[in-house]
Amino acid sequence: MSERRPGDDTLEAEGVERLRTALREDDAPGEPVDADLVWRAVRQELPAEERRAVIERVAADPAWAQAWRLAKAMSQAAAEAERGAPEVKAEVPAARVEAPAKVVPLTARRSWQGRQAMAAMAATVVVLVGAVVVVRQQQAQVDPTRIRGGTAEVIASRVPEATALPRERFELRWSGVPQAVSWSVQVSSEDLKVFHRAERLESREYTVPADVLAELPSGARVLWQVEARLPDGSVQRGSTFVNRVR
Amino acid sequence: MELRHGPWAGASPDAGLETLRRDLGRALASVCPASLADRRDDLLQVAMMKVVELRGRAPGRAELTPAYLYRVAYTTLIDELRRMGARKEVALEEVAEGPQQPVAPGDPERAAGAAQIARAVRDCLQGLVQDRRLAVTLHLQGHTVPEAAELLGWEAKRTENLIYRGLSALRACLSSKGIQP
Repeated sequence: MSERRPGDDTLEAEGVERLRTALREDDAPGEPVDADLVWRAVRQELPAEERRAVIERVAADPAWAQAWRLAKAMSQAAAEAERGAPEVKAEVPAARVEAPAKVVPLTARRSWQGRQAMAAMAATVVVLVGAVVVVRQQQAQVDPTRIRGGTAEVIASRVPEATALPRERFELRWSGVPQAVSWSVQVSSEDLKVFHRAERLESREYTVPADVLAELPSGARVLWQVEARLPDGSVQRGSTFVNRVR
Repeated sequence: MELRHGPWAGASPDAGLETLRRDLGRALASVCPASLADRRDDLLQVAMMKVVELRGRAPGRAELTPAYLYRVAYTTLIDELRRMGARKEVALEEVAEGPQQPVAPGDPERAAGAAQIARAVRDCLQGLVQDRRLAVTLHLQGHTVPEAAELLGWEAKRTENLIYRGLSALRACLSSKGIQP
């Protein structure tokens, strides 16, 4: 066996990349995927033998392969997010931790006591910061009638939130983004399934066709979100608003 | 008491969600075929709604770690991709029955070529001995040698050799099918 690295001449890097692209572009249907199993395999939460069994399915089935790629990408992103979210444990103030029972010189003891005081202060700061974060999170509880989804706050609903609109005239109106050249509206049901989308609207209002809403029971919540297309082609997405169908 | 803050849920209460939205968008762009390009926003929105709904229901947000939320987003995407696949099959049946023209986003010719190569790769992988098949599969999924070795539970050197030999066999097999990667 030579010491050549994979891809030296068996399959050049460009060739491997072409195969990867082909696999990614292949949208052939596959067997139903056990998404949870794939995730746990990628995260190495399964024993090696079970991981290998999952990889066997990835080799044979395009849907499993796609799920693996997605799990890999999301798992790596989650790990990065975790690294950006350090755990702050405020269980026991450091000052209450018993010092090791050993004799130390007076100067060193003073220094140790100073460190204890610093640790106690640090613990207090941690608790205070934690309390502030908890309070801020509680203040930021999601309003059930308005789900923050987009980056922009400037698209505002002009339909009173959570009110019921007649099925025959489910008229959505909004304001904001004066520079928008066109609008899109996406409508979802309570189970989060997108069931209607209207593109290239020229005005800041849209009436959802009654037949689109026909299957929804009276009182069902309808989630809708507006996107503004800007002159440079970019899209500015608003929050998701909620109204009921009457 | 265990608190999580920092960039994930720090200065802005929704900073974590925006990060998740960005990561989801990247993952979809790098994983989904071009034929699904016009559906990425829908997929993204469905996954984000699920996460937001879950977050709103959770009594203690401290328990909702990024790993957990990313996993929820991922499983939602898989469910949605499955639904879209099912809808596509139904749509194709309808096309076969009537004159309605299918809407094919992306480049159909390119998609067909990719599908042919992908099918050949899968066929050829099945012809490899199991250990090579597993190692090459992970290599084609974009894993490095150390990552593949760890996932398979093997030594890095052994995994590297398996990838090398496996790729050689794969190339020969693809050539026999008229595909020169």
